[in-house]
Amino acid sequence: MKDFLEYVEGDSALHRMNPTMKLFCSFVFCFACFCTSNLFFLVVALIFGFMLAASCGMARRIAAMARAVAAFSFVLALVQVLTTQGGVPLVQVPWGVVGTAGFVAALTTVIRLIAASIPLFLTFYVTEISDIANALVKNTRMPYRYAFALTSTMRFIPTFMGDMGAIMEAQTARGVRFDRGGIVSKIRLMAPLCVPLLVSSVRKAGDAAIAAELRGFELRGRASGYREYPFAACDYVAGAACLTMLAISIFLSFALS
Amino acid sequence: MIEIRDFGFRYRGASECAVRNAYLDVPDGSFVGIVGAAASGKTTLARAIAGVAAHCYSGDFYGSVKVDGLDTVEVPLSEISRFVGYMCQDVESQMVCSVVEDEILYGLENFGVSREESFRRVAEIAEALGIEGLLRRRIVSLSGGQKQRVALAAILVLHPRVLVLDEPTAELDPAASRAVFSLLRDYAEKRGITVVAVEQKIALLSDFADTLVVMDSGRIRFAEGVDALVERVGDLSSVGIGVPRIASLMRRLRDDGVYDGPSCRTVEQACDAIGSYTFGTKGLGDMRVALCDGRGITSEKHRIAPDRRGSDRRSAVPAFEFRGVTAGYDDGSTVLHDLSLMVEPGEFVAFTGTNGAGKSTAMRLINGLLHPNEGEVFVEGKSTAVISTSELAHTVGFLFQNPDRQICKGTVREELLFSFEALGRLDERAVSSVDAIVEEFGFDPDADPFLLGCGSRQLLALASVAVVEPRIVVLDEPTTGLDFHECERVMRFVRGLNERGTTVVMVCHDMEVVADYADRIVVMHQGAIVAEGPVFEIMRNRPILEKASIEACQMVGLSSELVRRGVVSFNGYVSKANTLDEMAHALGRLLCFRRNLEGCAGRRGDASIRSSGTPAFCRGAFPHAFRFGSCTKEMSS
Repeated sequence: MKDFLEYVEGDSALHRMNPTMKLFCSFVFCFACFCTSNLFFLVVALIFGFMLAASCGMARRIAAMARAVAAFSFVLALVQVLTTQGGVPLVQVPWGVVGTAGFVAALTTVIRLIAASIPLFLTFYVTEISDIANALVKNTRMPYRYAFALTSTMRFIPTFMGDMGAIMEAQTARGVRFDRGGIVSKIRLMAPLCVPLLVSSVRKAGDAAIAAELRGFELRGRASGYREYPFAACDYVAGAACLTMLAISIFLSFALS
Repeated sequence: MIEIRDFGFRYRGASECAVRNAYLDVPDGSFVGIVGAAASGKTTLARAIAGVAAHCYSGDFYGSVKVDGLDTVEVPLSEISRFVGYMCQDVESQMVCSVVEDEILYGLENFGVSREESFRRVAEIAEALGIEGLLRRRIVSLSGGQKQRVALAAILVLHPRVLVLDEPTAELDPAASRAVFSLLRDYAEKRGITVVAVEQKIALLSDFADTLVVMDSGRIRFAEGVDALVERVGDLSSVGIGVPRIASLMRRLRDDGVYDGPSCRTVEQACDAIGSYTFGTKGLGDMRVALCDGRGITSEKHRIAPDRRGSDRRSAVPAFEFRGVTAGYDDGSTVLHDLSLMVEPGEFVAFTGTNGAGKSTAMRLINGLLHPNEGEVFVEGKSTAVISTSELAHTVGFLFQNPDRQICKGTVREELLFSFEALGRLDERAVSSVDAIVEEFGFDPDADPFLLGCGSRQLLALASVAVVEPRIVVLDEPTTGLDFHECERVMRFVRGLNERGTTVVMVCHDMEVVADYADRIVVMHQGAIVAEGPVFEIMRNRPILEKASIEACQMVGLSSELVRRGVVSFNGYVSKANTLDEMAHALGRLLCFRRNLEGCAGRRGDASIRSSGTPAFCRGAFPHAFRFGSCTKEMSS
């Protein structure tokens, strides 16, 4: 996870796409996944997401991220298994029956979360953060300060991950058992480390803001960047494909209800 | 160019002003260094000049700071930044873009410079700073020195008339620091840029600055030319600034009445001064004969302290041992190549070398934060492959370069107690140990560690390591960013630990600190150990120093240079002098001899040599000098 959401250089079609369109498509794809509970649709979306990842050489990274999302959604899935009634009854519990419907709902949730997150992860892996900010300003006329704030959050993720790793190492060197025990034990041990992380984060964020201001941050506008971000035919095709996907998703949600 | 009148600044929430009643005039095109102890107000003064204090920090601003006639309070920051460039200590956090070229272009884009002009300027600055090959590189892939140059390029490309730098070389090794300042000076001279640099390394700054501003407790104590200021050894020491050892040496010789030549701060200056002062240009050949002859001197007891390395430290089990270690990181890079080293219990070993030589990586092997790809690491006879880092923490205490990564509790006392808690040893004995160390360091046990100054945080982190009494202590750059007094305090404590039997292993760029405290030195270069041995023996090995791009401490450098220039004297006193005391002693004798020579010449009526009385320094201490002096008449005839 050292290179968590960090841009990976490449020359694939996804790399070359307009950053604004990549972001747009990611959000539409994500929205489409949340519009329907059709398991077949979600599985197809998931497979399509992995195919996109493979097309730009990110399959391994996306698989790792998918595993992380699956682990994160485990609690949610457990709640659904225990609380969704229906289907073939399997186990009697004090508040009702755990049935196959619970497992289907849990599976749907996990697949939906993974499928919805893949395009967003991919966007950050194949797009420079500064390109996202500049393209948003150029293509959507978003004020630069908002684009900068949005992208700065992403830009600092690797720095904070690095800081967190260094803090954990420093504490392990003092004898804190980060190198032993399970995830629960690690989370418990990590709680006190939020203080140094917060302190270093605030300092870095302050320095970054001052550095930007000293280089004319306030003056930056739509005309400032030298690089242009035009939309190509493939951008329109990708946008249309994602909108079609959204339409299908909405149709399925209505058809099923 | 810069005009400061009765400036003061109090940060919001602070009870006192960080800077008060400051007056300063900086002429156009000058290079001004700001020095001072920690929390003396250096950074606040730099922020005020850059306009940052007035526009980015909440607080009370008193007086005025004008740059190029514009009041930094009244003019918007975006206007100030058109002609003032500011670089803070942490260059990484001031990078706005991900790619080097984008980073350099960022300011130009914002200020509306035309595309053609911008790319012309980028090419020009890249060439000037030697970063042409880095333009398409991602910033995260650069080394510390390269990032420093990119940050500098991103500012210089805007063609500022004033450049303000806050400890620009804090994390760089001496060679890289010198390279950054050389680039900066050359570029600034060519373009007539006024440079204001805050720096702890006064010896380095003195070589580049025209004027030094000394800050003390928020006030400007002195603002003078470098040579005049460096002469004020006592004054500077009293405000927490360590002057170059050469300056201290010359001052001592002057105080002893054996030297009244020009003031010096570098090895070259001292060699020139001593060479010409002692021998002039005509008498050098005769004097060499006289000195090497050594009549009346050879019988005197050798007074030079031997190298500190103990020879009685062999023990059955070494403190730690690297056995053919090759190691690297997850990205597949190999950082260390075939490292073999044995450190005995109770040794004080310093690792040195340039940035990227692999020193810190080697340290991580000792406490198991990194495991070798090939070979083995043994700590007290046990392989680190079978012991976890948290278990090794009982034996190996590790002080990281950045103390903020170690500190995690709300009070000093809790922080110290946490060291025992982490090891599962929180009991009554732990409480009494914490009480003892709080008293020893003079800490306020209820103080918030994150509100302490940099030096105090470093001391607290060190105390947290030492309080559990590990048998081996590893220190990664323990003195970086500390002022003279803080550095002495930290190192005196470390020496105390070592004297009580703790094995100390230290990564350190400061060769004066290494010379003062370590017994043995390990020189690393490109991931390999290129030399190891007694400190002064290695420091006198010129090929090794050149290979590893490091410099000897000033006294050893002076001694070696004097020997190289043919000043072999007094049974090798100068050639063997390693410390300030030893060198003062040896040169005192040499200069006394010259005084007596003058006496003879005066009696002979040689007007070209000034006659003076024999200084008290020479009389009781060096009776042989008079004997020797009396021989010169025979020799010259």
